[in-house]
Amino acid sequence: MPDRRTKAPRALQHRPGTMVSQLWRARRSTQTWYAPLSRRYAETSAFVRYAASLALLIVVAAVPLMLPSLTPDSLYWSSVLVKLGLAVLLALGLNVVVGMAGLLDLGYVAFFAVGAYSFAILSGAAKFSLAQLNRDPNVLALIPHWQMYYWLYFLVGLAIAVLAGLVFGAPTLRLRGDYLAIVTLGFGEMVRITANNADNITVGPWGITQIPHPAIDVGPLHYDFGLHNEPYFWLLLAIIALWIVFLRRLNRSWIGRAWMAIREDEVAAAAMGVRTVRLKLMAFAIGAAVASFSGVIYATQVSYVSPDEFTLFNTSFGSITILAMIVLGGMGSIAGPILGAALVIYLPEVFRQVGDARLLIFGLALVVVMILRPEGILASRKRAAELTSHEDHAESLFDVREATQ
Amino acid sequence: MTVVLQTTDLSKSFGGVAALSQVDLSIGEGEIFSVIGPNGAGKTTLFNLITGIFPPSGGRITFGGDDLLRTSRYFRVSMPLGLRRRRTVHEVTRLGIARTFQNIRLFPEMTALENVMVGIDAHSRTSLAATLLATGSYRRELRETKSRALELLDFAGIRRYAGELSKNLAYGDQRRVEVARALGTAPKLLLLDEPAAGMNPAEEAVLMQLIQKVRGSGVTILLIEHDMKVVMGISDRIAVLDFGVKIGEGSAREVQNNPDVIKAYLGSGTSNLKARSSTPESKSAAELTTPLLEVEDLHVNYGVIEAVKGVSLRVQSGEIVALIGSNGAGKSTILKTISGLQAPRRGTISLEGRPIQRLPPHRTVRLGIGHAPEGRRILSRMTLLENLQLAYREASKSRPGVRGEQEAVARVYELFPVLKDRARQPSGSLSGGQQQMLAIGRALIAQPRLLMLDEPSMGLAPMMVDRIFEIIHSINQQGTTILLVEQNAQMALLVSARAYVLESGRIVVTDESTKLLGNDLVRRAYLGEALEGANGASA
Repeated sequence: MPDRRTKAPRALQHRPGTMVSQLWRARRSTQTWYAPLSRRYAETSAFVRYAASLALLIVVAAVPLMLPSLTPDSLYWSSVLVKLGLAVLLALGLNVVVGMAGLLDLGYVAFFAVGAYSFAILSGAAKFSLAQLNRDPNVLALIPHWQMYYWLYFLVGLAIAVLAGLVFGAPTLRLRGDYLAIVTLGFGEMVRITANNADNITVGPWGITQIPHPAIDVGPLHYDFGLHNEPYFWLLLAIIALWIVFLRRLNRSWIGRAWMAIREDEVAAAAMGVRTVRLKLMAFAIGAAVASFSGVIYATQVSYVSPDEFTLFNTSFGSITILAMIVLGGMGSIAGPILGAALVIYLPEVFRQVGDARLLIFGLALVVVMILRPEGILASRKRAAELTSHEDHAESLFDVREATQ
Repeated sequence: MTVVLQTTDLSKSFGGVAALSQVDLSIGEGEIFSVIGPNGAGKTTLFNLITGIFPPSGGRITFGGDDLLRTSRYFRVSMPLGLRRRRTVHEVTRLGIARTFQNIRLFPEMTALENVMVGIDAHSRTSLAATLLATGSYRRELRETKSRALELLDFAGIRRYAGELSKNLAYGDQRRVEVARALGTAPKLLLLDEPAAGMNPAEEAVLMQLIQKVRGSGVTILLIEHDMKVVMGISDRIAVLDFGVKIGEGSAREVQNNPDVIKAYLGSGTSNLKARSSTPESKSAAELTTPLLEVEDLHVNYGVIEAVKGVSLRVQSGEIVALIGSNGAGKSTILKTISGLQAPRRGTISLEGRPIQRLPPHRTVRLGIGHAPEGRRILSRMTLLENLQLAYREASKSRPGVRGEQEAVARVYELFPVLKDRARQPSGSLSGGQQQMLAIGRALIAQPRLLMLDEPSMGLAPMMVDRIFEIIHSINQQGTTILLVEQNAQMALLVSARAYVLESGRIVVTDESTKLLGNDLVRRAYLGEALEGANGASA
């Protein structure tokens, strides 16, 4: 028997059924690409779809305005909304790396941190915080204020994160599966520890304070984001909406297919002409860019960053937490990670009155979902290959052979 | 005739084993060129070298005048592995060499259409920015890719499955998707690695038509295939590999009549081993008791592929029983199922009357079944001694009466003296023959009641093959029952008392080995029907 250890394909052969059911089956399998919900949606005309999307966007955008009439605690819940927006963006970014390209990245929060710190340092807040720490008498002169070109720092922060993605990715992406996960875990910690120890740049464990809030100042239009939650939420919503449009295009393009192919079988993908290393780097860099956006907005909203927030298990933005969001919601789809992020952010808030036990309950809820729906709630038909345990001896053999020339 | 692909002195060794040595091939434009050879002959290695999956140890490959193995672009020095500039896998594909895989490597969670689109994407010209902005060229390319993919599926005759996840397709259809996907990369040369493996005759016929059709569309084809009906039916020329060496080349008829080829397939039987007349005294005694191993109506599936289709066999205590048959006949699967590495779909396996078909491998080992698997599967980073010790610990558990560890190891060294000097060596650095000895030694370290050897001669030089068979013989003489799977039919029949001949998962003949030695059915099971005209040339 030649080695046929490939996972058993299920027989389809000649299943009985009317032509209609055959058609339905065929259609269903192509269109569960995004999420089961999008099936009918995709059949409607483009105009209706755009209109529906726009309507949905407006409804979501109106949520913070409706909060006061819904809950007495509207200020608190609107801050939860911002947190949710940040988490959704992170989850949709990590989804590219883990869900689409199948690269198990356990250090994703590093790029969130790189974005936040880049902005904090560029804006002069780090300099101010250092001066304050050193009891510099001129400290008041150093308080950073928002200026128009700070929007530019958003983009610079993004560029730095992309660069970080490439720098971390280039040496590590030759690794596979578990090894990649361990190395990215290490990189994630390295970023945090560097932020903790590079006192002169990052102000170390004291953190950077006085990071300016964004503002809009175009001609007659003046608006300071300040400590309000709503503008951050709207900014996040805009970025998320744009990112979803991009994701759908990527998904449908050769790039999305190449990522999927790499995830399914890297050797076969290369044999079909997929430039695997380049494509994996691209996924890493795109993921980093999205995370850095989230990081910059986070830093400008809370006006403070410190290494403590970028830990693996941070209950909102830790690498593991973000991974939990996409695993829970359903990897590879777009609606899945959004739902996952919503649950991961929302559930602990609901259980807040239980006090310390809330994380325990949350953990149990996760376990239950994973038992009932191991592929996630809104499963994309593509599970991440890295998280399923089917063996591929042929592939591991290939590595060993290469190493023992 | 223009030469499309040429290999010169192409060699490759893995560890101590030469998988391919100095192979010269020259494939002309528009040909269907087949490479055949017994298991372990180096056929798939040849494909992996051509497509850049492994770097060769020596030799050259040129494709349409293009050297596929340039080393550094700037220096004529051998660079460290990571920096070497041989053509990478995807570059080779983009140059116009596409392939399929022996064990189907479609992207299982993608539809047939998407699989083929990945192939076509190799020539995509859309940038990331154009994709994000959904420019006109992005949309146009998307449309074109899709319609081209549908065309190719149509060409392969499976357009109706375009929207089906490839993992849900029938085996033969999966093969055809793989061909369509490879064609998507617009190859000049298509490498097909055992496309007919696991196919039924009807599927085979469709496949042969498809291959002809592909050639008709101007693609040159290099084919590896075990199914002689397919090979003899469509090849223009055939090259035969054995132990990594090209031993013959020519048309179907020339190859079938080549004595070296026949010898390679059936084995020479040149050893000092004399044909054993089955030992009647032990046999008659054994028949009174329950057999040591009894397999009833065993069915094993790999997904949709039915690898074993109702096999029944029995092994009496003290016997050597051989399972012979060509690649893919289901021999290794039977052994794996007995030792618990593979679950049967149906049927029973009993060891001295006790059903064991549901037991995991570590339990069957403790019942006294030793398995030296195909490809040795030694733990290459552990030392030789560690391999033996590990095997001993597990296999001797809850088995009173098994000799102590020291003694057991000493016993293995006694059988294989060469191993003793290498006890502290990482076993991956051993030569192929030594690794095989270790695999056998490991399987018998705790005095198994049944020793199962899977292709003990695979990949070994002829002299080493003789040596291994002598040892198998002497192990048996000392009272160990042996179930032997072997491609080298001649050798297996010489050493065994009885044999079962398998073809496509079924037992076609069973008899005393001496009687099978000259049996035509055996030859047919290996070289196919078409050989019948070549009887006179057989050894």
